[in-house]
Amino acid sequence: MNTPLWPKLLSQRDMEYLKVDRSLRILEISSGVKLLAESPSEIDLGKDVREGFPELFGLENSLQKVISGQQKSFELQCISRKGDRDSPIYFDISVLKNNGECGLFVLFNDVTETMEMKQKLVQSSNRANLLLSTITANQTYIEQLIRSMADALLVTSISGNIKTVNQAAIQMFGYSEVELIRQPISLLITDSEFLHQVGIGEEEDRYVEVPCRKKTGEEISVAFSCAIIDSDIADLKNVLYIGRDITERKQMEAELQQANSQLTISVKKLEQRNREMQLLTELSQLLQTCFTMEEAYSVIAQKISPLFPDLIGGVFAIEAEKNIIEVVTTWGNAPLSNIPQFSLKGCCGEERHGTNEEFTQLLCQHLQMSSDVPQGCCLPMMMQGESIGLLYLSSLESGKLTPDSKRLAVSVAEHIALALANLRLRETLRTQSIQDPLTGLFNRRYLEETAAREIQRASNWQHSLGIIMLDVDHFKRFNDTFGHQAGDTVLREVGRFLNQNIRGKDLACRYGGEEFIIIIPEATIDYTIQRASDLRSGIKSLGIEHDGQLLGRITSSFGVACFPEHGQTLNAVIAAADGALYHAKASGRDRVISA
Amino acid sequence: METITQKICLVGDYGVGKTSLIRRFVERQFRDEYLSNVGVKISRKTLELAQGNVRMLIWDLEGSTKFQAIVPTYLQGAMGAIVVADLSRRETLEGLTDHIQRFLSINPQGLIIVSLNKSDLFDPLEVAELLNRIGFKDQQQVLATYATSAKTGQDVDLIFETLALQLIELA
Repeated sequence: MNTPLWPKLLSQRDMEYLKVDRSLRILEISSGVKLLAESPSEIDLGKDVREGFPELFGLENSLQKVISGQQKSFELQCISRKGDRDSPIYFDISVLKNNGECGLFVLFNDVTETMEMKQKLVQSSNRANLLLSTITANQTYIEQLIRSMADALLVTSISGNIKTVNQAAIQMFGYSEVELIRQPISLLITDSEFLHQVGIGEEEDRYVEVPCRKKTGEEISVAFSCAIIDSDIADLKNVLYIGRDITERKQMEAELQQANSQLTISVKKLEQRNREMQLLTELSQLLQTCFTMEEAYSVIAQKISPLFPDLIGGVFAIEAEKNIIEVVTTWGNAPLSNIPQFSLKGCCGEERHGTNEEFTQLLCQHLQMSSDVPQGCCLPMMMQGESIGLLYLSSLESGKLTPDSKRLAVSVAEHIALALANLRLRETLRTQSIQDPLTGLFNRRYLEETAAREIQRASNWQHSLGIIMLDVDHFKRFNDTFGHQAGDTVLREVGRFLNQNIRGKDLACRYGGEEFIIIIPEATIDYTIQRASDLRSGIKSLGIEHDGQLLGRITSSFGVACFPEHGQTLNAVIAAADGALYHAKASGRDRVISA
Repeated sequence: METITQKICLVGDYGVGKTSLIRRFVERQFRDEYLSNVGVKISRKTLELAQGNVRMLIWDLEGSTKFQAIVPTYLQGAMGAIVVADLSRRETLEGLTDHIQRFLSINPQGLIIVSLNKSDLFDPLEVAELLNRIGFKDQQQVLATYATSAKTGQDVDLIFETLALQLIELA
């Protein structure tokens, strides 16, 4: 039997084959076909070819068509199988009709070499496409991000030519994309110094707020985050600007800063005002505790200078009756500090005009400005229309005498004026309560208070104390003859005479009607009698006139007594003196009688 | 228990992870390295189900590209297909319909599972939203759509088992 030629031809072309019957059972096997099988053990005569080559499973219809001649052949290309080597082997399967056995020839063509090349090409192509796909997706994603950014984005070359802009940048600056691309960034950013620094690469990643200009010419402030990034051309750098319009924010910041500055000034002013109010309150409270003008002057001298630490000045009291101004206190080498008093003439306190606010612009003639004192003012201290003093302020430096310090000065002057006026009123009331208004001598109530103390003091020191009681002779007749007003004149003149002719420590009082009492401390009875005699002579020699009419000679009678010789109590001594006066009257008047 | 043999194909664009899904299912392994497949490679795995055993002949087909579609003869005789797309590549999702149509044109009675692979790269909530949108509810032959990950193994067994179960019920 002749051996067929085709197995030899197939072998020469690296092809293997199987013969199968119409039930797909193996009839013949080429030598190397098992190497291609998925399950080599299943490749044996009589076995189903699909067990060794499962690729044929499911293709039964196509295979039957080949057997029946409806289809000439069937092919499966590029079957991959794990080979002996690490890399797979590839083969094509071709199925042809086997006319002799009414079955099929299944041919296996090794295409490993071709497919390995194809695999490399496909691998390379797919990898590149995957990379491209990833890049495209990323680029699309980034472009969407950039497009939807609320912040403006610009990319320039390192020399400053615009390469990329986003929609927000177009809207911010008012240019179209075409108008911006390839234009210098200085078209938008007007800070040339900043752009210069960027251009020489000094500006790495940083945040800047720079002035910019819109297409309309409007100036805006933009906050940019800048970064030097790699260009799409090797070794070249680009500059990335991401910016936000902060014009409104800057304006608000400026307004806030201004408001803050004003608030700080206001707070400082309030603190200063508060400090001034504390000092002023302290001054007022201390002045209210004073009983005399001297005490008040001392308080003023001590407390007023801290109120005006940057100024020099002084407080002056007006003695209107004497037509002079006396220095109460001065501070800071103020003018007039060496002059204890000066005339009221030419002083703004001489007459009262307008309000104190108006007076802050005034300056007395005696406080004229000099080159050393460029600013100054005088404030009259007024009480019920009467000037009772002056507050003088001046500055050694121009501008220190501010409206605020003048306002404070007005307030200080008012407080001092009120306090001094109260003291004066108190002194007046006190004087009125102890003084006889007609004669100017002390009244009987004051006598009783004071004389009792003098008696006690004399007793303590074992001194004697003289009491003179005198009465104007025939005073009723005098009244009846010349009238009560003339009588008052007589009493006033006698009172003035007594006041002028007693010692400082003596006490002259109007005891009642035309009766007077004089207390003479540390006086013996003889000394008291002598003093009484002198007074009697003096009164007698008075030439008293009333309405241009000489009233004639006046005589008076005196009763003298002494403590402790004539009594241990005031009443007892006065009673003794009164008794002596009675005797003097009874003895013919115009005489001195001792108890 | 009876064992039936079924041919199923994994189809989809190149690089969507078809080979990785099979490797995860058959060998329980995963490799990050991309190795493109040319031609066709067959793997076997027998699933023992309550209804019977299914010997699956799994055809790992070369991924299609814009310029090279799937060879129709590879699809002949397949009772089921797993159509795979890559969640990270929009164009592979857009190509799902073409793959389904091509498979059904060869096997009109074939059953399909859609696998949206590489789900591990995305937020589960985003993936769930996408699954809700891509349902192929108008395609009766599409049994289900799953988000899978060959890397983590998420729902890999499920897609094969679901398909096998339906195939054995039809057999």
